[in-house]
Amino acid sequence: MRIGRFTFFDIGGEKDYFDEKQNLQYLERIVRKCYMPTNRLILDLISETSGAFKVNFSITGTLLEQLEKHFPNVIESFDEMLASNCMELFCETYYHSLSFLISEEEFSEQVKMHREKIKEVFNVKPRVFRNTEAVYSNDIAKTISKLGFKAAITEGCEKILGWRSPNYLYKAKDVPLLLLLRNYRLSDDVAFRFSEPSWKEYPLTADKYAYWIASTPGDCINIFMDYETFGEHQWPETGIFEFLRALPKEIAKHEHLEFALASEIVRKLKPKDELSVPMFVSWADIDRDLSAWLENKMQRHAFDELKSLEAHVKKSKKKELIHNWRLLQTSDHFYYMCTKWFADGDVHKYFNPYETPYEAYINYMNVLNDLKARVGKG
Amino acid sequence: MAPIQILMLGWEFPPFKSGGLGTYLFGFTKELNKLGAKIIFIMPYTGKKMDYDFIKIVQADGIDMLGISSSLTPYAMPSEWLGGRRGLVKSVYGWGFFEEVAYYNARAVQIGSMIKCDVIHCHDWMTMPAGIALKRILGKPLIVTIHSTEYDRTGNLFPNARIMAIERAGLLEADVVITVSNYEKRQLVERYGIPSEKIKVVYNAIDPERYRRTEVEKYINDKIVLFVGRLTIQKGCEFFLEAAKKVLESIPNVRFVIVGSGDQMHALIQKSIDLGIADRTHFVGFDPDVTKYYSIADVFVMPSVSEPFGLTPLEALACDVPVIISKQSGVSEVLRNCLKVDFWDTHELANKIIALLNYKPLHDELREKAKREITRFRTWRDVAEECMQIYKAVI
Repeated sequence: MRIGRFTFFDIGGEKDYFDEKQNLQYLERIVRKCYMPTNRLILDLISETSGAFKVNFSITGTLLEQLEKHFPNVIESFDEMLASNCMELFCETYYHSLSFLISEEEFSEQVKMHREKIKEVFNVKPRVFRNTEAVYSNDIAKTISKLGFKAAITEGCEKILGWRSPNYLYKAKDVPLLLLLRNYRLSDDVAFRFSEPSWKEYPLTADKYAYWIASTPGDCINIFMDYETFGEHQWPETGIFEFLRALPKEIAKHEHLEFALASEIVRKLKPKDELSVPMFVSWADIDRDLSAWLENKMQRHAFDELKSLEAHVKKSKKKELIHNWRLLQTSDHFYYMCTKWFADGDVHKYFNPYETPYEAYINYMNVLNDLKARVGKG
Repeated sequence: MAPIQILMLGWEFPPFKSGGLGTYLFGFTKELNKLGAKIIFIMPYTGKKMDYDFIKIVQADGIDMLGISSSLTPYAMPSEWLGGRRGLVKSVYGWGFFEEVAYYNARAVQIGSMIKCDVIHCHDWMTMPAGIALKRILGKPLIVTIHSTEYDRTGNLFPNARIMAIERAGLLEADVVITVSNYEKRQLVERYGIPSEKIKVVYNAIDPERYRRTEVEKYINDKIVLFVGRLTIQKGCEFFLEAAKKVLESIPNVRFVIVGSGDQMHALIQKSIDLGIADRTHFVGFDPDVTKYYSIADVFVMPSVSEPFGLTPLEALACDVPVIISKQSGVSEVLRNCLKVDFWDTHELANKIIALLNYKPLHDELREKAKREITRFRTWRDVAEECMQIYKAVI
C-alpha cells in the first residue's frame, strides 16, 4: 500500500495515510495487465499439460485483502489453480514487512496472520516459507522453524553458497529446516534480461531456455521472480506471454525434466549440505543484503523511529493503529528512500513513485510523526 | 590547423558583473582558450581595467568620443533609466536605456568589423544587433547563447515588445542558438517560434573550488533559510516569503535571510510586514560576498518563476547547504540531490523547508550526496568543449 501525499501540515489532522483511490488505480492496472491474463494462461497450461505444469505463489496478506475487496475474480482463479493441485502457496509476513528487524514477536505475529489469512481465503495450510525479498539468516531460520515450517526459500547467491551450486536442496544450520535456493541467473534471464536487445542471448526463446535448464547440473532449479514480470515489467509486446505459453512444451522435450511444487522437492530430495548464514542475505540488487532498505541515514532513522513505536502501538490495543503501523513496515517504503543508485545518477531498474528518495523520506516521516501523535508519543 | 578566432560580444565580465553572465564568461572563455581558441571580447565600457592572458577584452569605450562610459545591464528596467529613478544603475552615456544599447552596438560593430575572426558569438539580446550586423559585414557564422529571455526576466509579466523583437531577430539570424537548459530551449521554441533543430543545449557548470563554507561567527541560535538573487519578479522572492509565513506558524525560531536588491525590494519588505513576519525576515541588500551567507545557512531556496539555469543552488551546495529549487529552472534538469517544488506551491515549499529543519538525517544525507555530486559536476571545461564542437560544425 502506497502512502498518499502527507505534508507536515497534515500531522495531527486525522488524514488517512494511504491513498485508497490511488492504490486502487495501481491495483486495477496490475490486475488487468498481469494477474488476470497470466492466471488465465497458467490455468490453460495446467489443463493442457494434464497437470504437468506447476507453480508456486507468494501473495501478501495486504494484497489478498485488496483482491478480496475489489477483484474477487482474481482470488477465484487462484482458487482454481489450487484445486488442480498444481499450485502451492508460500507463507510470508502478512505485510511484506521488515518485521524480522523489529522483534521476533512482531515477525512471528505477522507470519501467523498470513498463515491464517491463507487458511481463511483458500483453506490451505502453507508449509514452505519465503521471507520478504527472500531475506534470510540463521536467526530467521530458527524463528520460522519454531513456527512449524519444514522449508524456506532464499537467494542462491555466492555469498552463502561459495563454490556450491544452488541447484540442490540444503538444510539450515542447527534447526530442522530445509532450504531451497533461487537460481538467480536463470530467473533474471526472464525477469530482467528477457527484452534487453543488448543482451547477447536476445531474443530469449522457450526452446533455448529449456535447453539451458536441461543442461544445468543439479537436482532442482528454483526459478522465482516478481509476478509483474508477465505483462508489466515485460510488456506483452516483448513476447513474454508467448514465451510462457511455449515453455511447458519445450521443457517436456527433455525427459529428465519435470515441474515440481516446492513441497514436493522438499519431500523427494535429500539435503546435500548445511548452509550457515550469520548475516542477512536477500535477493536485492548486486549487494544481496539489506542495503536497499536500510543503508543511508534516512532509512535507518525512519526505521528506528518506526521500531521505537512497537510497545506504544501495541499497548493502545487499537486495531486500526496497529494495522497502520504494520503497513508502514512494508519494505517498499524504505526502498523508495534508497540513494544507492539515485545519488550518482546511475541507470537502475527500480521503480519509485517519488521523484527522489528525499521526498519518500519526508512523506514517510510526516506520516510516522502523525502516528506518534496518535499513540500519544509525539 | 590555425587556432579558431572567436569574436565574442557580451555586456559584463569580472570584475564588472551584476548577474551570472560574468561568472559564466570568465569560466567559459578561460577553458576555451586552453582548447586553443583565441577570443576577442567586446563589451561596454566599464572604467575598470581588465587584463587577462586568456582573452583580449575590448571595452567599447569610444575614447575618441569624449571618453564616455556605460554600465549597461539588462536588469535595469527601461522605466528606471528614463524615469530617473536610478537606484541600481546609472546611465553614463547620458541617454535613455535603448539609446545606450544602440550606442554600444554601433561601437561594437565599428570595432568588430576590423577584427579577423572565424565565428561571432553573442550573449543575450543586448549584443544581438551588433552580432547580426557583424555577421553580414564579416560574412562569418553567428552563434547566439541565450542566458535569459525577456520572458524570464519579467516573470512572464509585461515583457517588453521592443526587447523581444531584438531577441527574435538575433535568434532568427543565428546559425546556431545555444541555450543553457532544455527548459530554455522550450521557451525559445514555444514563445519565439525558433526551430528546435537549430537550438543546442549546453548546460552551465560550476567551479566548486571557488565556493567553500567558511567559518562565520553566528550570534543567534535560530536556523537560517536563505534566498540569494535579484529582487525581481523573475526570482520569485514573494513565494519565499509566503512559505516563510507558513514555516513560522509551526516553527517560530527560524530566520529568513534575503540577499540581493532590485525593483521589488520595497514591495517585498512591505509584504513581509503585511504577513506579520518582518521580525523574522532580514533583507540585507546586495553583497558580492555571498559565501558568508551560504556559510551560516541551513537551507537554501531558489523559488524562481522562470530560471534558464540558476547557478546559485550549485554555489550553495558547494558550501554544504542543502537546496530546494523551483522546477521551473534549468538546473533542476541536471541536479539530482536536491528538493524540487513548483514555484507557486508555497505549501509544498514550506513542507520541505520544515522537513529539512526538523529531520536531521535528511539534511545530512542531502548535504553529503549533493557534495559528492557537486565535486563531480560539469566543469567549464565541459562547456568549452561542447561549444568548441558547435564552432567547428559551423565554420
